[in-house]
Amino acid sequence: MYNNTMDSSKSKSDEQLLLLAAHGDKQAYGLLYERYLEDIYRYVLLKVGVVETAEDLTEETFIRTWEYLPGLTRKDGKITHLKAFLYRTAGNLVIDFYRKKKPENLNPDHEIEFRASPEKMAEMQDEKGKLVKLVRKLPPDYQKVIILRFVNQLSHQETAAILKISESHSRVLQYRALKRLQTLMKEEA
Amino acid sequence: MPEKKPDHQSKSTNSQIKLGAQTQGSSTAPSDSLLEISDALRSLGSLSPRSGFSQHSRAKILEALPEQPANFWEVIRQHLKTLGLSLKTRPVFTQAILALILLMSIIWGGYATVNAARPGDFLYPIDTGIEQIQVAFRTKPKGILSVRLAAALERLEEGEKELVQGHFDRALQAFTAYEQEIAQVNLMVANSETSLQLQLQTRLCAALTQHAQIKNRIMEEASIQTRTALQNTLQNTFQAENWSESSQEGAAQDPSDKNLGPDEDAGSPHEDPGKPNENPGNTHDCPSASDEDPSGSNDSQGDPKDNPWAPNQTPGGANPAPPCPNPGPLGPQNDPLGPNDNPFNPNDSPGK
Repeated sequence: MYNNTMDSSKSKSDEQLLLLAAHGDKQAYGLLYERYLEDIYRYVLLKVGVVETAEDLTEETFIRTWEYLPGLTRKDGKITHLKAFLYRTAGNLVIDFYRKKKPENLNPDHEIEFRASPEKMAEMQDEKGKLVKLVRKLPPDYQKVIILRFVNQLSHQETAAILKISESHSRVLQYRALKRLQTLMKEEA
Repeated sequence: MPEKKPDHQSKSTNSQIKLGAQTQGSSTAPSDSLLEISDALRSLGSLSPRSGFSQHSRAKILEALPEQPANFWEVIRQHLKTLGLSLKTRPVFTQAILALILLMSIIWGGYATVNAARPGDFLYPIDTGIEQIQVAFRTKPKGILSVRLAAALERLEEGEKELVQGHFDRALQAFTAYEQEIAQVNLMVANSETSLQLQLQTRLCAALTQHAQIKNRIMEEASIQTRTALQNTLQNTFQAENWSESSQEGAAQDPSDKNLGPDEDAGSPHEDPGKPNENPGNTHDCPSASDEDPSGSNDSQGDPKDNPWAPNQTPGGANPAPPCPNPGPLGPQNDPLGPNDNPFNPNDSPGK
């Protein structure tokens, strides 16, 4: 019986789950959490560079968002940018983290621990580690657009909604970010 | 959750790119190079949370969530939104609220400034004028009585402050205004309906008891010279020629009778304990200041002549008799109703 309920819930759309969650259904919110966990975690991890901190901030993002759920649902039950709200909440928490933490925690060379098969671990650590370090050396706006567009593979429309900019501005930012990253790679080489 | 994939989605996200080599190659076009960089960035999409975190975090978060998915301010915001008063979407409401707050601040600040004006100040007439306006807006006798008594108390306190600061002229101005207010109140009580008189009298008595304590305090704090000058000036103010005579008579009386009021010397029920007091409006129902304040100035000063508000000092005035042992300079001598017509006069007791 419970499994049937869970299965039916999993088949529901974001709008339906959000409407249930806005009325206090924690299980529905749990499903939304599962859907967006990895994206938010990745976004936070690439910005803070510390796995434990990224986990804490990801959890905090979902707890904060719960308090604002009624504001994300309209009377007709339509979602108003839950994904954008999650990203913005996470971004604000990252900013708060940088404000509060000591300078040693802000080192962009901080190593991220990658998860992979043991045989590929060393290679991935080397290649991706370099890339992550370079991304974290970019200005914040460039970091955001790089993570959203390429790492989390969002569209220009979604990226623009999260960053509260126009789509054309998102394209310009993406190009500049890639050019800057290319320059950094050359310098690194 | 349909997602629009980016333009370069068709490229492999797991491409192994030698970052140093690709950027150094001079044969690679810049656009191709950016494409390869974007492909390398997509490979970071394989980053995922630890398995332990994924398993336990969900239960941990759901447990930590409050029961209602909204905090207090969110609830308020939602109510405003429902009413169409969203401050974010309609900045005019923000401006209107700010303007209202500013207006209220100005009004409140202006009123506080005017209310704090002292006798002789530029704003003092406005202060008293506002009180008169408040009286004019009241229709019920109880309301008028409250406003006038509050105004009288304010005058008395202003006079005390000025006296303490050595501004005798200003203090006298305040005391004069006080006496005028009390005279107005007495007149109003005397002219009110019979059914209301008892209630008004009770309130007046309570207020006068409070005023008497302040007066006693003023006289205790005043220097001998000031005290004498205050008495003389008050006599001039109210043209009470026989005040000093009354004062001297009061001084000659037994100090234990000082608080019995001006009419007791004609033979009051207090003098005859065998006569019951049958008059419901009798002043003896009212508590006197000295009854409540055993350390009153009449006892502490010794000589009631020094105290212009001593109970038996009746300089007279164009006012009806006070409804209770009024320690103010009001007396039955100038009572327009006459001692026998005054409903509050203890001498009207049927048993007399």
